[in-house]
Amino acid sequence: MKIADKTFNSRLFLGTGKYAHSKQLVSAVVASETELVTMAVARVSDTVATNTLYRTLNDMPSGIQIDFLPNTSGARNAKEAIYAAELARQIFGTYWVKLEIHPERKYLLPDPLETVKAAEHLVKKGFVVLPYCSCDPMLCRRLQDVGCDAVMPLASPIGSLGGISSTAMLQIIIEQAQVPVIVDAGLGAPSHATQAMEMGADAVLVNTAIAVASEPDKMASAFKQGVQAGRTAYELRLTPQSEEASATTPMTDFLREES
Amino acid sequence: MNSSISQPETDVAKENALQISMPSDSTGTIKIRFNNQIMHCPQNITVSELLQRELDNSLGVAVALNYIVVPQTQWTSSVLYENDILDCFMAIAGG
Repeated sequence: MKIADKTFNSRLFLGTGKYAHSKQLVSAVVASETELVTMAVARVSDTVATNTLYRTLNDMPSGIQIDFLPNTSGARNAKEAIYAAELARQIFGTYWVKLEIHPERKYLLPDPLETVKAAEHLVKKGFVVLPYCSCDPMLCRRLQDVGCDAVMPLASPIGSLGGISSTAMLQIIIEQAQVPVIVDAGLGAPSHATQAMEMGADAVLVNTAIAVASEPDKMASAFKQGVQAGRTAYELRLTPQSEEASATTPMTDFLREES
Repeated sequence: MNSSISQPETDVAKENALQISMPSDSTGTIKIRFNNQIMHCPQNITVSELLQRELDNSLGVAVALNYIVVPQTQWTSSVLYENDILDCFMAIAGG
């Protein structure tokens, strides 16, 4: 899968929030075989322990190569998101940004108007913009039209673990998209990831379901397998469903006398 | 999620952000705001010097001076003036 100028072997992206320990995060990253992890930006508050996690992830075990996808979480409007993206560019040394604007805290739903506005601005400044957005086909088209390199429609609200709440809309998004579709937020089980991939999503981004699992590395592995299974099924094309039965055993009527 | 990175919203803060920096008084120090805290520093101190003084390590740190992001290549040449507002940001976990 290719996004902008990068090719990915793994279609599972990981969020880094909510892990109890950085060791658990590292184990989950390794087990998931992800190549892209999200991180956020915050004001320095602990000057002694500055950037411990960032340094840990920059020093992954041999053979593990990950890229950072900084997000603009915390931004409530386009102006703040642009500011956060510019800060993130300095911190992470990347033009890639997961554009995230949620003005209210209860549902953390993305603001569509501000997202389009910020996306347009950041694309013009040379950013590779991956916007977190509502599961809205027209919005995804607008984001694609302003130059976003992927779209990231939500499955359900962040951290809710509810799975894909609008399969019909997601299917339209996938059908219309000319950029990769990454299903983000609310995937609570490997089967949710499988479902998204079977539908034709290009990738999924998972955070909470892995981070809060009793054994995050094993759950990361389960999600990896779920993503791979779903992708394989999509590539093989699932046989259409039918309302009626279709016998799997030949109906030979061998128990009855021939008429 | 929800790390705070907000920019100034009040008119006063905006005015402060746009205020032309003035040289300090005769004490040889200037007053700035660093990460929301008032701080006194020597005159002509640069962003780079201040970060060396205040941070354990500036790897993976971004700086905004009066709400304008300063690239690391300009830290050594960016001199702080009276009433400047310097904010320092870093990477944290997030989804």
